[in-house]
Amino acid sequence: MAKYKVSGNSVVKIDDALGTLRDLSAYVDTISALGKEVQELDVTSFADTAERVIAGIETAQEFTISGHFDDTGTTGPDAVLAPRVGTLGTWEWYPIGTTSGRRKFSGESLCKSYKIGGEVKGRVQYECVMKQDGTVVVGTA
Amino acid sequence: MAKKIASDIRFLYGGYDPGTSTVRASVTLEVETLDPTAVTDAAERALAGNRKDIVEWAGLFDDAPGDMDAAQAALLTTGTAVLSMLIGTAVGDRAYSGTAYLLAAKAPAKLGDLMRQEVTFKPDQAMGRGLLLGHRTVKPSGTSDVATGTIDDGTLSIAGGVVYVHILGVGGSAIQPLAEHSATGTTWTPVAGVSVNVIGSQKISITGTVQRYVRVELGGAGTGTATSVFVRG
Repeated sequence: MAKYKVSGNSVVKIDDALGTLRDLSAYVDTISALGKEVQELDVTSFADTAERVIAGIETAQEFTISGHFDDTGTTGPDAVLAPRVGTLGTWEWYPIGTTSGRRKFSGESLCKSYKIGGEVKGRVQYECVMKQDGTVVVGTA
Repeated sequence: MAKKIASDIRFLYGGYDPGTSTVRASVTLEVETLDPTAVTDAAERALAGNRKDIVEWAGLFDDAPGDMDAAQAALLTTGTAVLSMLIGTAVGDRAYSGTAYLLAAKAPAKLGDLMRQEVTFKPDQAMGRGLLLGHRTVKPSGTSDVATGTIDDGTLSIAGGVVYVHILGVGGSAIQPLAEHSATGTTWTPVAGVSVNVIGSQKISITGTVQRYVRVELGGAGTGTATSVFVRG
């Protein structure tokens, strides 16, 4: 087993508005913590000397992807993400790449927002917030 | 197609262009999130609600007539004007346009710093994703075209569109922005236009089919200047 750097390895794919999965890795420099999460339900009773919990249903986590704005048609981040606002679509996240057997997370998400902006002396950048709908599948590439 | 830097951004509200004051600008396309989760679901669910876009601008306080302080004094809470954030200055560059209220304008001050201004806009309905148009200039004196300014969206669409026009300067008589479209890029059909002789903004709405190529002809005998963005429906 090994450690892996993000650069050159991590892969993120997002559906465009027509349902075609697009690899946005060349346009992403940050993705917030994304995986699988369940709700925590408190079942502590008088008889317990410590808190007790059981797992509830899976949490609809929100995740953010961001990077430099690029106006490349069809496959660029602006073309893929801007039209997705308000729609559901598939996502796939490969933290250490798509080599067969490596970890893969996937699911369906609602695109909550897409923001474009820039600050003097900097680059124009985008930020897209997705909200999970339904279960996340933890699998392999 | 390219990456862009902050100096590629141009922010227009009505007939105001705070270009030399802009420090930061952003457009957020956003929806409300509704929770339809039922007891039979193994995971939380999410559905989209209404759009709730927001546009923000921050810059240096400037009391020039065409800058943001003049805009907020004239337009704050009085109604909507066309708002555009251009990401590039070439014909066909990406732009986001819509009509928006100027909701808030504030001037924070800090010892040792320049005077600054922060302005928040609220789009009336959604901001549209469009392209920067050029202007084909045809003068009654018969001067030949000096710019084509055509954009090519690759294909036609059937849900109409809007040409958002910022009139940034006027001179003499009116200018007449006229939207035209074409299936070929060589034979053009006029669609709709306006006649304007005041600084401000206009929306030219196009219904039904919009052909692949779109341009704006800037007719009239006036010497006014304008910037236009086309958003397909």
